[in-house]
Amino acid sequence: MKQKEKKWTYVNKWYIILPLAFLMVIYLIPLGRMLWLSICDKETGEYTAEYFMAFFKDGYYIGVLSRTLILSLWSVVFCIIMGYPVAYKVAHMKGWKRSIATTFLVLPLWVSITIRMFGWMAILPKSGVFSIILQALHIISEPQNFLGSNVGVIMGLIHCGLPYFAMIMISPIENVDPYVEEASYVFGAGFVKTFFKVTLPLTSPGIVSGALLVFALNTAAFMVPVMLGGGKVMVMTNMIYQQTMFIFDWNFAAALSVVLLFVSMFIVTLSSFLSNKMRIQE
Amino acid sequence: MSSQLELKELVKEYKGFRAVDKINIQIQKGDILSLLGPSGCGKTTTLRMIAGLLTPTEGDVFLAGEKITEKPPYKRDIAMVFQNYALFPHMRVYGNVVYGLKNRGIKDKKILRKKAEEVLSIVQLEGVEDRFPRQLSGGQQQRVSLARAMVVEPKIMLFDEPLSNLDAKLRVQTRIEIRNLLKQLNITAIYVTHDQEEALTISDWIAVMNKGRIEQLASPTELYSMPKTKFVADFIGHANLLEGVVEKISEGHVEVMLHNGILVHCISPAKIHVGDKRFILVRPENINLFPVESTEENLFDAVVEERNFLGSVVRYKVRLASGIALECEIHPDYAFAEVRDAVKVQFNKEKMVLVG
Repeated sequence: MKQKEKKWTYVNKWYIILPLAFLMVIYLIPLGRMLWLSICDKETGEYTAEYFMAFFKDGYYIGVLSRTLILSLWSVVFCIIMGYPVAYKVAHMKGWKRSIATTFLVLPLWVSITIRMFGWMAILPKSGVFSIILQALHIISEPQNFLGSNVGVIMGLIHCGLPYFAMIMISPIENVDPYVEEASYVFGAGFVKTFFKVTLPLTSPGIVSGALLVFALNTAAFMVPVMLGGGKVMVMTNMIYQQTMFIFDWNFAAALSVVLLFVSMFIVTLSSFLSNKMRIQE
Repeated sequence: MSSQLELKELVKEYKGFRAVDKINIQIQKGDILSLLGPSGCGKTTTLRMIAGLLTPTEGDVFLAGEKITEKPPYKRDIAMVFQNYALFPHMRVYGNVVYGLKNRGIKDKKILRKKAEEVLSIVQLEGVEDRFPRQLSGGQQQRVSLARAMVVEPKIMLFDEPLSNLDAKLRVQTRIEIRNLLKQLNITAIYVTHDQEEALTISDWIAVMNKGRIEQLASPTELYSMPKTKFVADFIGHANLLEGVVEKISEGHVEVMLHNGILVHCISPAKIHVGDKRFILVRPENINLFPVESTEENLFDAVVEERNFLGSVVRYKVRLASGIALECEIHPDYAFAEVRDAVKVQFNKEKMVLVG
């Protein structure tokens, strides 16, 4: 006779069913409704592609979409350049120093985005610190107002994405076997060469996942373009908000959301696919 | 003739603790020297200072007559085989093997390919160039790691416990192969290990280290038969160490009174004086057991406490009437005695050594 397996670990199917049900109600159902709205004529209720046609026919909307993606992309690039060294340093720290460093890294996340953006609103104007620093670095010659400019919005997006990127990168960098880096030194490669030939390729999957997270967060960012764009930098999220709250065209807003969703999904899928291919080299 | 590698008064200090304490080593070209010792004895620290991965607090490292103490690892003409292989996981075997060559400025694809093929055939790994390290077994990975080191023809090759991740049988086989290869190619090598058997088989010279110092640097044979200190005697092989007082010194031989009143003769490499309290080393294979009714000279009464059959020998633990416990190894054909039997013990006089 077969003995019945004794259960003592209490890993229960409800552990997954309950959260899934929760997600279902607050996520999948509204999502489904949105998809339906986007292809449904607001008068007749019949299937229509008019909202999507309206979007793709008008250069203005395409421009908003590409601005959204480009701003997000720039912020990702700067998050990688600025976040990687930070993560590298923290990954090589130990004990209390490391705890302090990680705390400082996530400290900005304890403050709401709105408050942090108020900070940037003080930094970015013509008389602000940002302009003064750029002048001191001879990047600009005249005082310049960055509030309501693409640069200003990118700064805000970097500010939001950087802690996430750095935190995500710590573990992949830490997982690089120190002996492998040592082997590189012993076999004739200096620090820079070792970094580009060994450390960077080994952490590239981490970079991709960090970059994708920041990209996804920043494409969907709402407060940053609203507060730092000053109404002059229109991105997809603002436009969707405008359509729902002021123009009351929910169907068109739904279509915009669907476009944003699919474009982001496409980029995310493509990048992970490409990074998987690239990982196998030499 | 100047030596291939010289360590001069090498010291490594960590916050007041001396991990390596004034080490002096010279080795000639083509020789294999092992740094042997328990964990924390400073052997790996020494190796990493030779590699340039650590900077010595004091002292100097000379490679082929050139002072390299301050040079970073990538400017030293060295190669290293790591304990966990440390292969580049994102590169194929070929990429791993030619990594050092590329960094030494060899760009020609044909030469690289040829050298890689040559060295892989030396380590008997033909045809794996296009595989990734993770697709190979532990033994194969270690061969790749060996090939990666050999292909750059370094002035010195460093081994950091390279076999400790392999299973016992493979370990025994690989260490012989490594020795043969190094000898065949006349490569100078420093080999760090905590396994005394490995050190005995692989090296020309062994430096036994303890607490950051070299206890004794000698050939494997000398180290085994003429250990200078109690630590070395105990660390290399199985040892019976008997405490005694030096009674009389005559040419090459000394008479020592064991603390139970037995007077024994033994050889002594060290400087001693009458009245010194010293240890006598008797290897287990240099003790014979006789039946209790034997009447030969120099026999001592004892009782068998343990009897362990190990295949080629039987290892006994016997206790002398005076209370001293001894380990001895007897050929199975003569291992008549069982546990609790009374026996007579004989020491091989020629093989008793006085140590520090």
